[in-house]
Amino acid sequence: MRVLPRGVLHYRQGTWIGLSAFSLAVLVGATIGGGLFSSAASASHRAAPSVGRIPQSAFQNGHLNPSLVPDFVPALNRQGNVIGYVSKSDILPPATGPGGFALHASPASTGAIPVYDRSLTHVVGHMVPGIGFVPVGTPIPRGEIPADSPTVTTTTEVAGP
Amino acid sequence: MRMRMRVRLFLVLGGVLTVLLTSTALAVVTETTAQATASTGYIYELTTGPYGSTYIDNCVDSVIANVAQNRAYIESNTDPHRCNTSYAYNMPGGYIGANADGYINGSYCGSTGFYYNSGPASGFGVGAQLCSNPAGSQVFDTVATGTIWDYVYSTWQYVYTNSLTSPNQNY
Repeated sequence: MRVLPRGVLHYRQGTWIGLSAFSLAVLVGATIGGGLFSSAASASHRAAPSVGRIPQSAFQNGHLNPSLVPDFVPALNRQGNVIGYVSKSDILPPATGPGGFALHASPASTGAIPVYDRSLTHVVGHMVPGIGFVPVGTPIPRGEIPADSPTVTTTTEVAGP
Repeated sequence: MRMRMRVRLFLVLGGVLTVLLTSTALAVVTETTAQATASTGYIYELTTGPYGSTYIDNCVDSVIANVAQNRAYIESNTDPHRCNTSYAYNMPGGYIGANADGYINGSYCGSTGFYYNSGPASGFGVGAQLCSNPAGSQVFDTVATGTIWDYVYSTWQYVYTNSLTSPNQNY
């Protein structure tokens, strides 16, 4: 058996330990880095909202099918021009509560809906019930639902048998 | 003689063919330019109450009316008669309301906002032309939602019905 000088043994052991530590560090780094990268990738994937018109198939069978509604839908002014985009969550029917009821506290609880520009983050105005698009900088009428003075010609009627 | 007969036959057949083609063309034009109203009819959505000792079945009708009018109706009848208007129940003023949302070609045009019956009534409706109607054929839809003053979770408050989409209509 060949006996190595002590210094050589120490050198080789140190190299082995160093290489092992280095490999472990690379492995851990790659795992964490890969995880972070995939998390970031999936996060960016989740963050990309869908934008577009609601397909006619979403209106079928009496109820608006939420799964077919894009995250943001074009909003039009009274002249029919696209003035921005409204969020799906703002235009979908009210969510139903635990007892099967969707609640609201007062007759004036249906508020204005924010309208976003192409970035989908910057508010350019609001869709106000009974009025239509009101750009940012123009005051939204107080109470939000001027039931006694709609600017859109709105008719109400007592319907009975 | 035979020649004349053939000419007459040809003329008669030609006339019949002309009449058929003209009437078919007119029928097609009439159909493509027809402007109709499309409605779900009243559909049962929610039972509310009791008002005194009476429970009420509430029904909603979602309408796209000639031309491009978005309309929402709510109708109240005594339980368990659902949408049978023979059992209509007059709800006090402010108890029932309706809202219509308007869509054109899948884009959002806005809403009427909720309006409420001002006096005792078994039915109430709201409507407006929310979308512009440019030249050419456009597809219009209404999403109608009703609301009712109801005793729920041990307190009086408004509840929404499910929203109802009208059949689409082209104008």
